[in-house]
Amino acid sequence: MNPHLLLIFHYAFPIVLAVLGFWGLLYFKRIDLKVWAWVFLQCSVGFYFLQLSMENPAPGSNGPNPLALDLGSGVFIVALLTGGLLLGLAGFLKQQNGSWDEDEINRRLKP
Amino acid sequence: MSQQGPVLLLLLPWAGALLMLGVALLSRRLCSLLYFLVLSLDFWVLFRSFPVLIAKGFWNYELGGWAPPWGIELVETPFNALLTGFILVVAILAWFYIRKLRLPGPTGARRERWLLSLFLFLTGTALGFLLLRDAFSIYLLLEALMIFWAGTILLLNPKGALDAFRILLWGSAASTVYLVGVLFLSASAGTVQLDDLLAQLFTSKTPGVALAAGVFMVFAWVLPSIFPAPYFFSRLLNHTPSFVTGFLVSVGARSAGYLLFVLCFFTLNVPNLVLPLWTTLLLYLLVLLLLSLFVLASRQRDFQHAMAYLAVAQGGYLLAGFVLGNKSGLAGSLLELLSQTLAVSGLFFVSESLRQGVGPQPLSRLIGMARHRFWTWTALMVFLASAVGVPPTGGFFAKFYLFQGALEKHDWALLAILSLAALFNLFYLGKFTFYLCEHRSAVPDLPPPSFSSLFPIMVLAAGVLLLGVFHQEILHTYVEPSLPRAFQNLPVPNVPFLGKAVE
Repeated sequence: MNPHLLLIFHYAFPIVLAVLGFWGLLYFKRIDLKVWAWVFLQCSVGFYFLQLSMENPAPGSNGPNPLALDLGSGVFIVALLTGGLLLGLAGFLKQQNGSWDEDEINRRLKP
Repeated sequence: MSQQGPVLLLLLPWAGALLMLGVALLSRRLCSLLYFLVLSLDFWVLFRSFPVLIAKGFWNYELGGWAPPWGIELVETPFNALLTGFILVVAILAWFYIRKLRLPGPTGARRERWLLSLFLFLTGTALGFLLLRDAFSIYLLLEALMIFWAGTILLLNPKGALDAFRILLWGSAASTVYLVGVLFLSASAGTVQLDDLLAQLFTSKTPGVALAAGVFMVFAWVLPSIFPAPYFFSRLLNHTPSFVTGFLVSVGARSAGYLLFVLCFFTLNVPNLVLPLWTTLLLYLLVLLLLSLFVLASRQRDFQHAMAYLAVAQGGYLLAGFVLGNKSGLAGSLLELLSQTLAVSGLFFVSESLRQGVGPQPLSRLIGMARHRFWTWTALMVFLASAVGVPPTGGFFAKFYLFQGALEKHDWALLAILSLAALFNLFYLGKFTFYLCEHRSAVPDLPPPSFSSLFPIMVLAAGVLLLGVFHQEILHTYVEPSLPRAFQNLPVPNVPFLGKAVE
């Protein structure tokens, strides 16, 4: 692959994911979309760890750095588990209150 | 057994919690018994480790015999062992309230059993914060804390699903930002072991990385430090049993506070790191903001809301010691941490013993309480005295060392902030005491006292007083050995240099 493209893919992709994630967490009103924004944020850090493992090969080999690879995989597993819990909780809230909108749910749960 | 102390200490609550998920299908009584047995066993393991700790000063344990960075290291020091003991005591005392808890609905009985399991998971997570020395494992624990925290709220409170969702979403997002800090450190130092990190950062002369990582990592402490401020969690406070809130604040937030101390003073404290002005100003503002919550606490009309603000505001004292960063300041912060673990849980346990079911708890119901619930009132006074800083409580001596630290550093701004907070609190404590002792003909509408509601708060009150009475011994034996080496009274090695002895 073209080295410039590779560089853009390696660095720009996680940064775009992280920015989108933060933006979504702060501005989305729908709780399901907030969860997806959270998944974007989580994945951006996971990608960075994988990138780190590629850039710093293990001493005496050309393979990826096992420590960074372990950490990157760990982040994706956490994203899968916690993301699943968050989506389940969002679905439960929608079922109980009939809306995805956070403000609307808050209003219905008052006092 | 004698060689596996730290790992047993950490794994027993986790193993007990997993076992309880199965036992929960059988019997409530069995779950209750298992909870008590697991925590008592853990306490015994801890008790057995004290002679080793006092003799050696610390206990390093490599999980599976693997050295870092591949293996995970546990470190037990006299201070974190003492804090572990306090956390186990709070968890054991919470058992007295869980036994009496009856949740409504057809699933109530099952949820009560799961609550015991979640309490064990939360205790295990808190112990992990105290013992683990691996930045990535700490990230996993932060995620676990949020999951168990949200799970506990969801289990107890049918109206708490949105609060549980918010706690999990924002707490987990903050943990991810912490992970970005870990990423920076890992990229720069090639390790995630906390003690290794300091050495690597120092050798590579990259204090900027330590600063950037620190700025990202502290985000993980936002949620534990604002929980359960009524501004954000009003509904949750009204619908959750008080002892559960007290347990979460005391065990979760205070163990996270110790972890912050370790990160700031043992991992990122690179010798040539100079904090820029904006971070220093931000820290002072945070101390001021947290301590100003004492004013909000005094303006509440609901007892539990007032206690919630009081619990959050006390975080300001911990942070003040960290900002001072000298020996007296840090000793004051660590003593405050011990004292708050007991006093904060005590305040919420008192609230539980004065409450009938869930719902608001107006302060007006407590008028004249001293005449009708004398022992509960006495315990409440001890906890408040510790929070405010009245002798001979542990909280008083902690604040005394904080003042001493500010004086030694000539930090007049922080001294002024601390003095204002102390004066305001003393004034308000006097007013509140008068309110509780006021003579009214009508008997206050309070539930009758029982052994299981009084025993936990009396034990905690005795602990707060003992902490004050024996503060010298605690400082000398437990706190001082856990301070950064620069503040320990170690003999200076007499290194021969060019044939001459050098001090």
